[in-house]
Amino acid sequence: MSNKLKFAFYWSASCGGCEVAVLDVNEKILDVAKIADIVFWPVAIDVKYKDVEAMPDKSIDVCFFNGAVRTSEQEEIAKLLRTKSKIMVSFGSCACLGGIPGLANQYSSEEIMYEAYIKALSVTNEEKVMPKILTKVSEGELELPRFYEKVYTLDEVVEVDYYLPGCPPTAEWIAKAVEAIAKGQLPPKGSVIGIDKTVCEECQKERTSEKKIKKIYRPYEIIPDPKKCLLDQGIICMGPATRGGCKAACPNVNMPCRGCYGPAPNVYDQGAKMMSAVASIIDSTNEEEIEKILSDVKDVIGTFYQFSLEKSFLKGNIKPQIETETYVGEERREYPRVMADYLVVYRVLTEEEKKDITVTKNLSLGGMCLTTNRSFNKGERIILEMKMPFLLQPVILLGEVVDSREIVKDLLYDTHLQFLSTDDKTKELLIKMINV
Amino acid sequence: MKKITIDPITRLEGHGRIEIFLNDNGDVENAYLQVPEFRGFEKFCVGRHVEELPRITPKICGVCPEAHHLASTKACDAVFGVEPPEAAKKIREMFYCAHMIHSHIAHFYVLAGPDFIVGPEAKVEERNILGVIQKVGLQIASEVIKHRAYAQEIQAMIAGRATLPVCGLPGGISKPLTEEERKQIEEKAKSCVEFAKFTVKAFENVVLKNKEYLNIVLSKDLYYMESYYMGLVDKNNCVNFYDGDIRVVDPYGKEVAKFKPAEYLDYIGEHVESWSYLKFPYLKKVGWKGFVDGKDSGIYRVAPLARLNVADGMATPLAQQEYEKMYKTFGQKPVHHTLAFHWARVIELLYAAERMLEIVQDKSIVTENVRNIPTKTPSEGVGVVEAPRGTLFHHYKTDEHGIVKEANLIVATGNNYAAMCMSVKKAAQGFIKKGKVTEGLLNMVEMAFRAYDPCLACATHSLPGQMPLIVNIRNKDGEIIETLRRD
Repeated sequence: MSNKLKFAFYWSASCGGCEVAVLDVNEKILDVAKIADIVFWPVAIDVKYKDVEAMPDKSIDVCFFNGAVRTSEQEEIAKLLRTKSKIMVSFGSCACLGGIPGLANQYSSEEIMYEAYIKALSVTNEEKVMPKILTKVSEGELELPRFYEKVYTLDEVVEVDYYLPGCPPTAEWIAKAVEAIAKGQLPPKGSVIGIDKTVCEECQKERTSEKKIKKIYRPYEIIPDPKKCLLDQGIICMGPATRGGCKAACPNVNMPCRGCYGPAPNVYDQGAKMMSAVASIIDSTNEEEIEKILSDVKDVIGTFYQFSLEKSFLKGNIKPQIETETYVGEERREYPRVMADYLVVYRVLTEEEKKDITVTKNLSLGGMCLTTNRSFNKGERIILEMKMPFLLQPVILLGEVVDSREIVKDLLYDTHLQFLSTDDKTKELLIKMINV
Repeated sequence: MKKITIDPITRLEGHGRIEIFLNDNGDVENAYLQVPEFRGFEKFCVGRHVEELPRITPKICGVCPEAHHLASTKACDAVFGVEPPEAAKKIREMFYCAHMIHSHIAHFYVLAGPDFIVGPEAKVEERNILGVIQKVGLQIASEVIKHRAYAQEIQAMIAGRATLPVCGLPGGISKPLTEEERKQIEEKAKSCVEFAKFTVKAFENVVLKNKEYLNIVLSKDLYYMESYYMGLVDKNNCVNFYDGDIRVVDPYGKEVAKFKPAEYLDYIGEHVESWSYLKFPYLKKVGWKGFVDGKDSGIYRVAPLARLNVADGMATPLAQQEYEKMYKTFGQKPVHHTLAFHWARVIELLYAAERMLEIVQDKSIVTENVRNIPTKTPSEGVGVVEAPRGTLFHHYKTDEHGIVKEANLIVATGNNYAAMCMSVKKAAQGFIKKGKVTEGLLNMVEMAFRAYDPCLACATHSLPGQMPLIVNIRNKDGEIIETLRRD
């Protein structure tokens, strides 16, 4: 046997675009063949699941798994491949984020079936026949797999080592991932294999320093100036909240980014991040007016969560995740920190009139990080009104700026605050939120 | 009763699974082609801004996303009652020709090629793309790769990306074409026409001049089905992929319907079976009569052969010559021979290349005016294109804000589903006698549905050019008594 690496590829609920992306690596596929044997790839090799079962544990070096998980069969295979693989790579937007099929999580499986087989306009189905797990026909029985109530991301089903997002991932980044694996130069476990930049940072369009919009336009409503930033022109473009790597392919043809590469580095909830970015560039400080302008976005999920609904705080019972990695910075934290998005209205203590709204990026008992649309000086004092779930009244906090860093040029800043005084009641609320 | 399961490990629109039941004599009682996957786009398109659907629906299929993109964009035009500028329509059609070229090249050389170029009787190990390369030579193989890449590059130039395009908007396209880009596309289009001519010639030399292959194509036993046909035609009743009226002919070639996309519900119904997630479209006016062929059954076929069967001819000169040659060879129209889908596909490749060149040489496509802003209140619209694998329907209803209330989709492969089921059954009956299952079954069943280039199988063929198949033969109690495999 050769000393080559052993690769496995598998797909579940996806469209096949990821396979096309693998083939688009073109001549580089020959380089892959030089360093690796593909031991499981249902398109290419006839290996039954039971053959995979017979392989020793951890005998596959890398498994590239694309597609979301919707059926019991897909879950079983994900678990089997996890056991047999040293490294599990979540490949493409569906596996990483739920992707487009994840939009189905807005609806129950009954609603989805009813729409397709009974209500759909061209269906003629007076007897209301629906696909069934088991059908008795005159000759015997026919089976269909059972579908779960919802779509899961791969890492909700098995432990994932690396993420390679994109719809589909670009040939460039597929090749880079393979190269990193071959050379043993992999980033820390849990990392996204990709560029640490936003789509905006890769985009050629000009941003203006004046970043205020009065109206949100849907893409069909205006013909944008092709040289200028789409967001500046009032078209929601997910660039600021989205990881780059695509070289801004969609903005290049004057179409807004829809976020297929998933949340930008250090962002958990891509949609919330984008909403706060939009809120911060609206030319108004009046909450009502801001709300009115934002109300032109009739479909919040399809606009802000087109690819990432299943990887967001919207999806239901998810709890904010405690950050496991240690904070690498000047100070060591006294309190545990959670990634969380809560709405915050904030203003500088001395500026009574200039309110703005955003969401928290993370939160601890001692402070928080906010996404803001301007930078603040160290030591500036900020009044924060934080809206918490289940509470009508906002919690009022006073914070002091620790630092304020530019994330997207002239648009987004991460502002770290330390709480100055928190009374016992507020503290109690914060503890509840952090230790959910 | 014995049950045989053929479980091709395939994808895209899901696994395709074949269940064959044998009677007590060991002959085929019935065969079922099941599609066990379903994602529910009809439902989760609801609630969306309608102009997002041209970006969302291409994720139905990563192999023909361009077809969904354009059907969806055209449905959006109709929803807003907006007509795109002439240049935008031409650029869309040109983009779409590039997609057809890419898809048909891939199918002919990589997927179907092994059957014909290497030969249906060749050893399994040779019946793949590597075998094709060996047979035709590296130089030609590199031409294949080059022209597939050209088609991809043209699509990326117009639509932002080669796979999963984004340029379509109600009222036009998002980016005008520059003169520089037009010239580049023109060069590539010229090269594509030459390559398509070469491919037609290759088909003639390898298949038509080989008596053995020709006999398989012309055979009326296994790969023959008399059915209705459906396809888009232009105002002269010539084949068109992007736009036109939908024409239906009966098994004798007589036009029985010609209708606008918006009228499709009067003509097409979808039947549901509980053993598959894919629905069965049929002609409403003839009715669903079960899995039977002929004039009394509403089952119809789509895709290359169907498109040629419904049309009076091809709109470009070289393709027209080949069209005439094909019908002369068969001496009948419509042609009911399923393997003639391959021939029709090669003729369409030539048409797509010629049409692309024709459009790109029209300098009026270089203009800033590629979008009209919709002014009417959105309501309802249908968009239809010919996908490589057949007629594709997108139908949306929205509220006054353009929020989708209902979405109905009839996908290209779906149209052929009933016919594919019947072809599979016929192949099974032909190759399973008295309980004896031969290796030939695997090849022949595979060829029966590969002719349709079904989406649920095409990915399978993409790399090695063959489908790994497993046949389990079960006794009455469901125990496997024999396993056949083709690696």
